[in-house]
Amino acid sequence: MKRSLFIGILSFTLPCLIADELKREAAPLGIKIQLRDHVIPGPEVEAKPLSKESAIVLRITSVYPHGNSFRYDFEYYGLEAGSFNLIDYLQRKDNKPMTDQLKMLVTFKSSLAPERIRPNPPDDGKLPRFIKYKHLLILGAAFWLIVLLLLILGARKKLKLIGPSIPELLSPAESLRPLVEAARKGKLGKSGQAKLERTLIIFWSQRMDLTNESPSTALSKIKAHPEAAPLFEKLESWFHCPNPEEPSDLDALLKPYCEPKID
Amino acid sequence: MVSYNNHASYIQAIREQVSNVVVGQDEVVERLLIALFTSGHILLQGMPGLAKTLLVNALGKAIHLEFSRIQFTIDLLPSDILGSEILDQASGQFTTHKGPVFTNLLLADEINRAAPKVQGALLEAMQERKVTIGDNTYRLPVPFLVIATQNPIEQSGTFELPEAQLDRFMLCHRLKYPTPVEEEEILTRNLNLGIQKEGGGAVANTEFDIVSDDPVGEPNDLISVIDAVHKIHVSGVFIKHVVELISRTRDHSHIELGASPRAGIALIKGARARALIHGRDYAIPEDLFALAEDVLLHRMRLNYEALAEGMSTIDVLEDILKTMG
Repeated sequence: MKRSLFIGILSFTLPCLIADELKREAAPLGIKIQLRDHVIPGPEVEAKPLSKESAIVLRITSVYPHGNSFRYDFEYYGLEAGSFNLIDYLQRKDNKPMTDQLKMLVTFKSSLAPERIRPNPPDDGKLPRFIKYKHLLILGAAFWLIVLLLLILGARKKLKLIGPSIPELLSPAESLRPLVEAARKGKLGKSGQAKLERTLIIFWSQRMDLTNESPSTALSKIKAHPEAAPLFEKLESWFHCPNPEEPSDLDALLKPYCEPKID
Repeated sequence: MVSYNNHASYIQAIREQVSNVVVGQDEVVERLLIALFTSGHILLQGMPGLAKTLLVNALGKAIHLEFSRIQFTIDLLPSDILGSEILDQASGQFTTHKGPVFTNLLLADEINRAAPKVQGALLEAMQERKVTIGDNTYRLPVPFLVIATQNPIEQSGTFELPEAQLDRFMLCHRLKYPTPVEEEEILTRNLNLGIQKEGGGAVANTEFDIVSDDPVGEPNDLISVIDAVHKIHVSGVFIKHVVELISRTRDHSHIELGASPRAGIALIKGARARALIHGRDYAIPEDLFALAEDVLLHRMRLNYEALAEGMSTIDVLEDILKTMG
């Protein structure tokens, strides 16, 4: 009789005692709070899946057997201000309903003023209204294009400077004509004679298609050519012999090179 | 001994005697003769086994010149070449021991394998034609011709000759492999070298064993040829060609270091000797073109842009010669 009376009083007062135990100071929103060694009578419980309406995020970090019940370590934080029962965010693993008498009350408070529940809108940019960010991007791209063009032009100019030198703008035939004219008139100095000889070598090596041969081989072949041989033989004896004599038939020898168009 | 009054026949006799031992390589023989007749020095660049030593040996014996060979190595000392003073323990006096440089024809084999101080000692002797050992200065024999060789491959462990020292060589000739016909002749000749029996043993003959010890002509013939080379006529037009060629090597956009005035002198000297070898008493542009590569290439250095474009000095020189209008 006495025992049944005691159990009756205990079952009535226990939920109130538990609820009192969980009465805490209101916690700020978003701050994690840990609750350790909390016994929930009955079969094992688990955290309910989160939904859009969830005002609390609750996790069970550890579970320990505790007689016929289980002891739990919780971790939770609030998403909305107000008082909530943690039991509402738990469910039995065996899908049986939770005891209505169980209460684990927690309170959360917001740091914001009650009327300020949304963040401030972003500040307006400092750019003048007529310049938009898109315009700035276009301007930047145009600037870099101009710089790129200048770099390319500069590099091309430099390459032109260091490129192979173009020895003569005139063709060998065109260069020959004034030299031959001067030679026929007897007005060719040593430099002119040297230039005439060299230009004739280039002229003949191009004419005989010997530009791919080594210069030494090309000259040997030119001197073996029936048309070129007499000319070079006479030029050599005129320009290089110890007792040079101007060829008597110089005019005839050089006449072909005075023609308006030389083959 | 036969005395040759005619220079051409004397030169032809030398070439024939050398060709009895060395097949082909006519161009190299001509370059060696040019160096010898003009008191220049020659650097031969070529792969091993191209009969460089045999050629010099045969040439030395044909002209009746003393011949020495030095194999350049990393541990060679200047005194190993020039000579040194040695203390005679019996008399207590220093006696001078002259090195192998005291010869007429000196073959400096693989010159780039020796340390720079050894190269420098030899190159100084080449230029000054005298050597100082201790307190005494000795003149080198006349004629004095250095024929140095360089292997264009295996550059590890070598000391590349700097441009200033390369410039001391009048000619730098690049030896080519023999043609298939010449190669066949070399192999055929090698089959018939035979053996020599000596002191109860026998050994196979080498090409060196068949080099004739009989010189061609007399020592005066060489003097006469050297004298004749100095009388070869060089025209004003020819000098203009040389000046134009040299200045173009300096002004070319791909050249960092052009030919020196010494190169111009070498071109004219070489052209004179070549003219004599070819039976002329005057130099012509053909001599210039023939010798340009050997005289100028080792004196030219390409710039960075040309190297970046993968060009070689021979490309640039050919460009200069082909456009020298």
